[in-house]
Amino acid sequence: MNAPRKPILEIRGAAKSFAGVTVFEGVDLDIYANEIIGIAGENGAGKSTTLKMIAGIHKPSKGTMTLFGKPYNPDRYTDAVRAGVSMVFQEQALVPNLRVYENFFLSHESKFTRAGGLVDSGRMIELAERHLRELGLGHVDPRRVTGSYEFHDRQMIEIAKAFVLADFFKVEHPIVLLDEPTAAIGDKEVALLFESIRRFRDRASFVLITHRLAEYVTLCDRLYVMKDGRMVAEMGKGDFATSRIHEAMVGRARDEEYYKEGTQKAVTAADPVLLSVKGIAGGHVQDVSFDLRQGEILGIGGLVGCGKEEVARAIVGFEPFPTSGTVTVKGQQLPLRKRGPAAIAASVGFVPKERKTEGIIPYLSVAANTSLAALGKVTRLPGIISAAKENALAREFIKLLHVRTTGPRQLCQFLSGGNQQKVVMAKWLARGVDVLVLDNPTRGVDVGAKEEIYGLLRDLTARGVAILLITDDLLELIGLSNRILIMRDGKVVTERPAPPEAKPTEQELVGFMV
Amino acid sequence: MAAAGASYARNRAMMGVLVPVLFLVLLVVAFTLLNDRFLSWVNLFNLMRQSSILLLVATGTTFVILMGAIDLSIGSIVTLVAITAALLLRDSGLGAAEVLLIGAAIGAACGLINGALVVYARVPAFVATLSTMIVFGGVSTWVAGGANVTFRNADMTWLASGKLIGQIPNSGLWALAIFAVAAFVGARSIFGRALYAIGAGETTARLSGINVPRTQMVAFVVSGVLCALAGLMLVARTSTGTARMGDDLLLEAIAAVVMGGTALSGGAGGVHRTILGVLVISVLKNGLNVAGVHPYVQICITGLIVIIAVTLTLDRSRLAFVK
Amino acid sequence: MSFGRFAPLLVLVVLGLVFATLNPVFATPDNARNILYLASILLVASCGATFVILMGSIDLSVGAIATVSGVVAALLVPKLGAGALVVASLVGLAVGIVNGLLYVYLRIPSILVTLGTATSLTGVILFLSDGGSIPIRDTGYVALTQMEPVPFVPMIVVYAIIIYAICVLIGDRTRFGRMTLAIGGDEQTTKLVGVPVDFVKIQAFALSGALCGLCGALLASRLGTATGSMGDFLMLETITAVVVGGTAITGGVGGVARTLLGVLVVAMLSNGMNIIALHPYLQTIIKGCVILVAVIAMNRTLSAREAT
Repeated sequence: MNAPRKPILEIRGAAKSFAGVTVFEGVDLDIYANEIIGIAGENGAGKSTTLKMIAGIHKPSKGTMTLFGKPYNPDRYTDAVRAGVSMVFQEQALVPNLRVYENFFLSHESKFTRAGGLVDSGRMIELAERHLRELGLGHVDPRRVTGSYEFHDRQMIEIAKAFVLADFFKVEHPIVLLDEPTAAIGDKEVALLFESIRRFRDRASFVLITHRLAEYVTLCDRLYVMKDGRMVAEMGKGDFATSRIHEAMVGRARDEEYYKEGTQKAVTAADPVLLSVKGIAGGHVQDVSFDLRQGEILGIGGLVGCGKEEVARAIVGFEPFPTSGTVTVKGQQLPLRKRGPAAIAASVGFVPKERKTEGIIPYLSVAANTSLAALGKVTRLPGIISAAKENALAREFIKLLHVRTTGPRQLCQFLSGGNQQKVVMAKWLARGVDVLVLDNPTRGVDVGAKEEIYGLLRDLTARGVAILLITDDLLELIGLSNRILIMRDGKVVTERPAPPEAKPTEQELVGFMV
Repeated sequence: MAAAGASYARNRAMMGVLVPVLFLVLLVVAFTLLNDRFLSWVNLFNLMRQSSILLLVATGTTFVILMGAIDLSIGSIVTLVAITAALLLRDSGLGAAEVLLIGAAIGAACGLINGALVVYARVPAFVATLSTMIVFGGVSTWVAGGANVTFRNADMTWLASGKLIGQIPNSGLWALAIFAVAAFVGARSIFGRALYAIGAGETTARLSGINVPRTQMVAFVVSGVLCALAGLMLVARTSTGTARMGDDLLLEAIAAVVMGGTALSGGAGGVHRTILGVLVISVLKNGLNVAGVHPYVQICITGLIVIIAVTLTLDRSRLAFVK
Repeated sequence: MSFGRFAPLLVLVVLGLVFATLNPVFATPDNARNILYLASILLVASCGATFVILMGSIDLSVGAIATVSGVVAALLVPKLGAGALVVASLVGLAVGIVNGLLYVYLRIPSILVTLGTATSLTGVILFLSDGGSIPIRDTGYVALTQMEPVPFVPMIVVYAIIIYAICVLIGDRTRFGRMTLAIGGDEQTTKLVGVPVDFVKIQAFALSGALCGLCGALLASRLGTATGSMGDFLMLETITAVVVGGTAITGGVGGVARTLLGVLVVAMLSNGMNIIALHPYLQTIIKGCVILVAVIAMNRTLSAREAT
């Protein structure tokens, strides 16, 4: 790593407000050539919006930006792309049914038209092929439909697109913004992604945003930390470790109290088995069996594609799910058809991964979301919902779970991610559950709210609820679980008890995952 | 941002009611100026009679639209039931009561077919009901044999034009009563809540234990039955069954629902709001008639004003992408 | 490729065999001519409809536009002769632009917009035709479509094929064609990367309108008259043809090239049912069911593809 003179992107005094609410202000940021910087911060700290400002998706309310020595004021994302700034989106901004080369040049085809407005696909494909080769992505066929590639390759395609367009617009050294690129992928893919980024560092600069603090340490040369809309720290390599980052983000030191390991409930063979799973197979899953006892947190970890999420889906009947094998709850086997309703009837709750489309209904109120699985409890006359009862129920859980909201009638779309997740949990608590299945419950949730959710899970186990925790967050897996299962290629490859006094290390578990 | 959200939602809600009401007032004023006969009791009762059909159809359609689907066959169901009822009343010697039951059953059956296509065959509602619209239409013309069917039945006529209370035509009373029940069900029942949930977040609703297939079937059946009632009311009023008599109702019903404030994508609005839209359209049509506007021009204007009214009342903040 | 791609061809062959067996008249050159007429008319309108459906929208005013344009053409033939074709296309273009503008700027879902314009146009049609029909006495105009350079192959086939070829070119090789596909596949991303989505949408509706207008004028020439309901069959049949051909009703998959097979299937079916003297109401019912079958079959193919 060298020490370049002048930054290629300079931001001074940037501020952004939406409808009178300030998201960030007084932000100064520099990006030099050939470097990878990170912007860390809790949800709501302003880092995502800052990134979007650099990408031209939001216009700053105040402040200046200078790119390659010239004033930089993009009105829209396309302007940023033309200037050499591209973004890699969490779900990729690629149109799935178009071919790779079509996606590269979408909306820029005018430079390829021949007489009569006909597009010269041949030249596009040639150009695409050349760039893909140069980037070491020769295995990507520009003629293939983009949607047919796996997530990891689509990410690479989007990064390649940044280089293709930079070259197209004659920008030598593009800036590539990475918006939570690792949120939906497992450790193996993360390693591949980071390796590629390091390789590309000699021709571009990168800005990384992620929720996994360790990734900043692994990848970045420099790190900015934002808290409550202000830039509170700038750290050079060697200065930062996850605990220091965490401290800067939330203002207190991190300790083992975070996972509330002190309150981990001791579970013995005397505790009844609430959930029993035998021979689950189908799709990515080969053969999975385990038991879950009352008051226990059983964690399942493994790389993406190992099948752990499919196991959860098989238990709660969320299609499509592996159909072989049996699922028994409190002694009653769940049927294959209509397994979903049967699981719910057996008091199994499910907190899904995609909060906004599977966990809550954003356009409905907190009260309506809370009562969604327990509508029978908020009626006075049969079949008729009592608004008073519903609001009272909602208030009860708002208080219990410390949900930050203006009231039971507020629409869930206005709550932060962490509070939305609390509403999802309130929904199941309102109904009453004996088994709770959680799929990556703290994804996209800020550090403070995560801690509250961990506390809630401990409370639930104290009351006898059995919890199945599927998570990609290894530290969370270790910290929370009584017992840990690691899956690989559809099978359980190890089972490891995790009592508070003898928690396994990450290295130990990762060894089984790969 | 939370506070901003709350007041925005409040403003939107107010706007949602204010605009159609304003529109209504404007129309009433305009038509009264054009012809003061507009505001007479005779005409108002006429208005009631004419709007009762639309009210029934639009109410039924609201249930379907609330859950995010659409039913394009509503006009055809009205026609089918109307013609079948007319034939039965003319030829079969059955009384009004039996014909009413049979008509409702036909409507329910049509709804079941629609529901089955959408729920079990997984055909998008728009395509499924486009097909059933054609199929039911084909059956209607077949049954009618290409001619108008007239009959005489005092009971039926009383049903529509009798006067239970004062001078108010019965058709208006039935329509209002049914609307009131439907509105209550829509706003306060578990079934109603399930509709909103499915319209606003089907996957979440399903995962939370809402019986989505059953709710969807019921909604289509309700729509079918209410269309059937509208068809029965129509023949009761005119003592005739003609092919295509219900066709205009499709656009008017959907427009009425949207104008009332129910989003076409579902999940917002409500059955109780539909009456506003129905009033606007009915006043418009009635007023154009009273003002003596040429029938061809009436059709044009209705189409245009529906578009304008829908434009003004559509809640675009929820429509991320208009298809 | 997969079985699904050849299904329409298979259906075509089966239908042909079935109808020919049931009534040998079906397989005569005279009847072939009838099928060609029907297919040509349908093809012109369906090409335009394909672009709209590719984007994920729908145009329910297809029939009304064709009818009104046909009526206008019939009225103008005495004065303009073949020039009426141009005027009819312009009328269709105008209505298409109105559809597009309302859809894009007022953000009203295309179902409502096109239903609304269709209804309004009905009034105009009634007004222009006074509820009756407008005969065309100009034999030259009629010959435009009915002339037969090759025995049993009317001129209209040539027009239809030319238009089809142009539309296939547009779909495959122009930015517009690519952008309609992109919008149907992922409108949000397409907008983000800078595609002028609004403009493309208006263009698609304009193109559809213009082609429907031309179709209406050709229809009038074929029939030798213009009536107030002559274009009604187009609404369902264009959508059916597009879907049967292999374009997903929700958009993003398919294209104009596939529509040809769909059109042939629908035309053959229509004609065949007539030939075997199937009850007219039964015919309507069957046509209504065809689109259902096509969509269900398409669903199966798409989900099978996703599963692999």
